Amino acid sequence: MNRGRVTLGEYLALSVLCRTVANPPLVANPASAPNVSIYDNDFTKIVDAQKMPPKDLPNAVGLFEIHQPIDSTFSVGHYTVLYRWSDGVSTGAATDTFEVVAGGDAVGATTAMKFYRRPDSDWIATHSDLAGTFKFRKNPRLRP
Amino acid sequence: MRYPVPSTCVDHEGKFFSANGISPVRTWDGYASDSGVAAVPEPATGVTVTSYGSGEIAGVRYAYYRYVDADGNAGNVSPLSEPFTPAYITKVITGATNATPIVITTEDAHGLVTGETVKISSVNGAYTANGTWVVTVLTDTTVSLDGSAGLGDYTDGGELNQGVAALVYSAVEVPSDSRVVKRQILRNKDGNAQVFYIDIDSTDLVATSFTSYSTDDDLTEAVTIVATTGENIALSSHSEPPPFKRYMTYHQSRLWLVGDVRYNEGAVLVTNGSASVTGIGHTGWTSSMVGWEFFVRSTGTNQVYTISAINTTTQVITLSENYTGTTNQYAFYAVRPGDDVRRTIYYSGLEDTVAFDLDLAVTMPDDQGAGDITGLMSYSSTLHVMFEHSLYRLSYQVSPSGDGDIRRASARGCLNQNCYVLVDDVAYMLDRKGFWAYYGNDQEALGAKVQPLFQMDSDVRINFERSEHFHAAHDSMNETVKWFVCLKGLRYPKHAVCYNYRNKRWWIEEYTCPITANSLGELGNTPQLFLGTDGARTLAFGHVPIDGARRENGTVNGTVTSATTISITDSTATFSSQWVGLPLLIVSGKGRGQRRMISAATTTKLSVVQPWVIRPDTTSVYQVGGFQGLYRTGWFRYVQTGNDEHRGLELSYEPADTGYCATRKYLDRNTVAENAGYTRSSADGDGISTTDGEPEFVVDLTKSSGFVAKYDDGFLEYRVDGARHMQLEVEIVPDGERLEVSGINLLGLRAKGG
Repeated sequence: MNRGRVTLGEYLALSVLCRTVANPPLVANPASAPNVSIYDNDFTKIVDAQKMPPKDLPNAVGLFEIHQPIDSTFSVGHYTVLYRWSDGVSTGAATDTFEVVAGGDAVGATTAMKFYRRPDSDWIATHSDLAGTFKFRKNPRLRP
Repeated sequence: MRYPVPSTCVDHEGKFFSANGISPVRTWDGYASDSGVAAVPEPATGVTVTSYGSGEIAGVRYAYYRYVDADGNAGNVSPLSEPFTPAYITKVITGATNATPIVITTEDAHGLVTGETVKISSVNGAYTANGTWVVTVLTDTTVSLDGSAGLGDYTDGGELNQGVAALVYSAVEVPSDSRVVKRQILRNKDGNAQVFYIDIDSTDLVATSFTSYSTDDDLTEAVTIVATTGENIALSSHSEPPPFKRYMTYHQSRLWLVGDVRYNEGAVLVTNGSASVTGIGHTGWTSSMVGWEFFVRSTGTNQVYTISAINTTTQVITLSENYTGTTNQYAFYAVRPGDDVRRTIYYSGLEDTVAFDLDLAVTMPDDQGAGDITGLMSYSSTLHVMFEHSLYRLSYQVSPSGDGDIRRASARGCLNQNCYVLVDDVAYMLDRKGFWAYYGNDQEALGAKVQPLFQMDSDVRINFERSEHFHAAHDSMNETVKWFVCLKGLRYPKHAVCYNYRNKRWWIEEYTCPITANSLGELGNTPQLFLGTDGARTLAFGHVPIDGARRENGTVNGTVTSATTISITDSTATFSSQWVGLPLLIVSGKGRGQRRMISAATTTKLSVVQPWVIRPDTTSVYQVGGFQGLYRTGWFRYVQTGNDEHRGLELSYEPADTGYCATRKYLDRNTVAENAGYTRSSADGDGISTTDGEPEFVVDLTKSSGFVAKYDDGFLEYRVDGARHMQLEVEIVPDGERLEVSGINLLGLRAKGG
């Protein structure tokens, strides 16, 4: 399925419902945590076999979800998501797509800020959830 | 990885500090190129002392060394060196006269020269001979001690050590931490092991050996190592701030740290009989978590393990013992600091905010009902420690850990350190039960009208799962406190529960983008509330009526000439590429109220991130950077006196060249606004235009009087089924200039029940 359009700095929820390869397939927990890989439009692997945590065990059997930060690894374009898992005998797979569109910022949302005054200048210290460090911007003013 | 929301403060010197509970505390002075880790590390091993040549330095010597940062802050000292007795020549003493001066006899030829310095020790009987002296040589085996005076007969014992010319310090560690700019070696003077003096003060960060020719008289800069209590304060009083504490504040010349992180991002793979735990997903474990407790939710175990090592690259934890539960390929887990430090408050030295003595801490009472520590509040002269469900007051005279007094101040708490606002002497807070005010010796529950936000069965309620991101702001100009909270499972707050403390009125605001942080500052020498949002943007609250777009740079509003599912086109427009990333709002016409983020812009076409649910058409008016303001009254009862009553609406506003303002009328609990019922131009409607089939009464903002009115016909109704209640909604969308509706006058109504 298409996971929609996101901008840099957002979190994209990627989830997969693991099934057995039996006919008919049955929803079941895999033998180990499923992997997710993300490929860009040139099929270059951007995220390599990242293991996915379960969504809500034991209430949601077979459902795994990871909140993928759209950080500086990504740029504007289309992406393909490949999920792979094993039921101990055979390997299952599923795919998704999503698009990163212009806008946002790779460091994500500002999660803390502090107006900081020094004798010679004013600063706004902002902490973003993906960068994890403070960025200091001097003498705040309205954007022209 | 996801970083916990950090706390910040500024100390008396203007240094900025931040802590997040999983990384070392960082600091910045406003001048360095970037922030750095606060405080200075300490050497792990002691220095080795030896000597060189003959000279005046005699007596037992000890040495420490320590690192110093660019601000002159010194870290803890190294372990103490082994005691060293400088001795160029050592001789056994066989006699000491009870005379003035004392004459010492050595067992064999001493080899000394008049004027050299010796240390006499362990002489019994003639005790005054013990000490450091300059000698005058009498014979090959006798010397007199210049300035001495005998006060007893020699019995036995004694050793003569000739002083040395220099002390050599070796095995000095080369610092690997970039904070270190110099090293200092401290040594004692003869006969005193309490006070040490800086002997070597070197910016050489490479050498492992230093030589000092300084005599005791040359040493001037003293460093007290042992306090009058006998405690070795230099070993611990300059420790780095604990990295596992996440809430900090500056209070009475000290930096304070409390609270911890319960970290459970991702999942883990645990194997029975193995001490290795592998992370699944974006676990983001840091080296600061070594020593923390590890819990896993899996069958067969409820044991708590201790983390002995973390490979932060591969995200593998090593436990201090093998995991004894059932192997689990994907288990939920949590890590957090140990129980012994969870209720502990650490504080810095007085006016020394980077020096912590981790042995001096305040431990909060074991109050099971209080929940976790959620922050600190400097209130009046006391420090308040906030819990989830309680508030404690800490006061002290001299030493927080010595004479500190801890008392519970309230059975209400605060969600986190960002969820309170101090207005004069009143702290407005938010906890799981609701909003409340703290007056120091009294408290008051607030907001009965917004209490449904806290109830599980309410349609619209606060999502406390995301409470880490909640924060409160003080809009001092409007005497309002705004609590930014997550509703409906949103990741970041997009709503503010607002309280005007002057009028005691409540309302809820919805924002076009998440409001993730705030800080009160100044802009152009006037108070300014800054807001943080997504895309690393910072907003100036109330200052600009549109978000980021300026009319000088391109078209910001107009009428759509064509549209697709993900774009609009205005053939008359000259859009700017700067519009990318800004919101696009359909103000009126088809698709009204839809807001999308702009993903691409050409001269006449704007593409949006998400498709339109209702595709705009040529009736649609758009606004780039548009903020939509909505205000809805409560329900009013129509007056029924039996006489003709005028019903109507009068609206006062500040005239504007552009922008949008409309009203809608709701009757008798209907959630759909009433159709205007007729089409009328602004000219015909004295400033209000309507379209039959649409509910909007659109206000002509250009009208110079700044006043419009719409009166219904004289009204006389006795029928039971007529409209009985009315609610009015006002919508505004500014366009580059401030838009202010200053008054709404509703005629023919009275308050419900009044």
